[in-house]
Amino acid sequence: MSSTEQGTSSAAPAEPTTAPESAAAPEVPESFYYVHGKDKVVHKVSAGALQHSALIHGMISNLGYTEEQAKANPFPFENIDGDILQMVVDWCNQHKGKPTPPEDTNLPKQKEKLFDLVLAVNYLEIKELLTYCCKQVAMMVKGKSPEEIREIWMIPTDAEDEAAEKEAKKRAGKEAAGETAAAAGDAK
Amino acid sequence: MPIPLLSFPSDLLRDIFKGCDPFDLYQLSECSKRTRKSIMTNTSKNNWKIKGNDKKIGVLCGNVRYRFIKTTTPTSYYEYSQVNRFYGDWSERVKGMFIPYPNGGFTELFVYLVDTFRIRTVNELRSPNETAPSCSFDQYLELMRSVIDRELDVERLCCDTKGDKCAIANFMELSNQINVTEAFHCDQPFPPGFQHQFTRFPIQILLKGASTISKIFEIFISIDAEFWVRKKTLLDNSPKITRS
Repeated sequence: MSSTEQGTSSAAPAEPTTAPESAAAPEVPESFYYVHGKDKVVHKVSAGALQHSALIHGMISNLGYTEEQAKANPFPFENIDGDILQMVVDWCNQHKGKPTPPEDTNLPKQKEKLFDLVLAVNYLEIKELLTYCCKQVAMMVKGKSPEEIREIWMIPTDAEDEAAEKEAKKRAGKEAAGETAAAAGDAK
Repeated sequence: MPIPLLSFPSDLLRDIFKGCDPFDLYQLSECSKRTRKSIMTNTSKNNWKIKGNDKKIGVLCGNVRYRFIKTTTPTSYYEYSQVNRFYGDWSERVKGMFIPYPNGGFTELFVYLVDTFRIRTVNELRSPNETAPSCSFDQYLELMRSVIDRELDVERLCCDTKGDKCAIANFMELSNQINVTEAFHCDQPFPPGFQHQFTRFPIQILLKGASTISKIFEIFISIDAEFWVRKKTLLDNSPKITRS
């Protein structure tokens, strides 16, 4: 998993990166929240856009933050890379207040980041985006032979699996023996 | 960029497998024992159906039929697509893939696909015959036992095999243990004095029996009791049918 160490690491964000907003200005002033990933770069996201994420939506409902409090305490997602979080935030902004069409063209296309994106989206509980991402993953092996699939999805062969299993058993045996020896030493 | 599929949590694997068709899942299951196990564990119950013979095995998914067609040259792997038009607007899309059958032949692949895809319904289970010599009759009976063990529903159970009169007793005995939902067809003559008691009743039962004067009786027995009793009197050398 790649990590980009940029932005501020302090609790209070310096300059939040403003996500693109819809052209039509809402009549009622919209509340905004702030999130940051592993890189500590803070993203400003509207409450409407964040509704896509069941996790964040739940956090907002439970915390009852004012806008000031939200700005001072961005939601930390330390397990998500900054660029991945950016992609997710962009998608949420693009789909603010509207359902995702079955064939969504405004979705992240970078296949190299698909694995991290799927994990992030799953963590953030964004159902529509997760469905799309899983479909994208499935599409990667359409019409491929087992050998090609093994490469694309990094699937070990039976022999490799057996060797790994043997190795794990050996390691577990050694660890157990080490623990027994340590316990015996303590008893003495 | 490769993706470590088996590192995904199982709920995600379930979502990914949902986006795969039977061909994708079959090819994936061939990658390793672990991937096949993963498919079997993380595939949610589906309404796919299966049917087949020695030449091809079809997996029906809605209005798309995926055919696993037997080939002896593994290099001839490819897909084709055609549209079968049936009554009115209803049409069926057919996709085919050429694969070598395993050593156990048709029956081994049939059971492999049932288990891998977690199929619960057999569209048609037809005994080997002259036009579709899928396997030996013994293998067919073995396949019936596999279906019984897995408690699968069978929409149509058909026995077309000619000649082996002894085998029919085994077939009829096993057929009582299968949940046949739509039709039971038996095209094989029964030995003299053969008796059978049905314990399960599909919508339609069709028996063909040759009498001593070589007259062919063909009867449709409705599940309606009155109709049944009336029709069974037409049977000559056919099994004596009694309702349990």
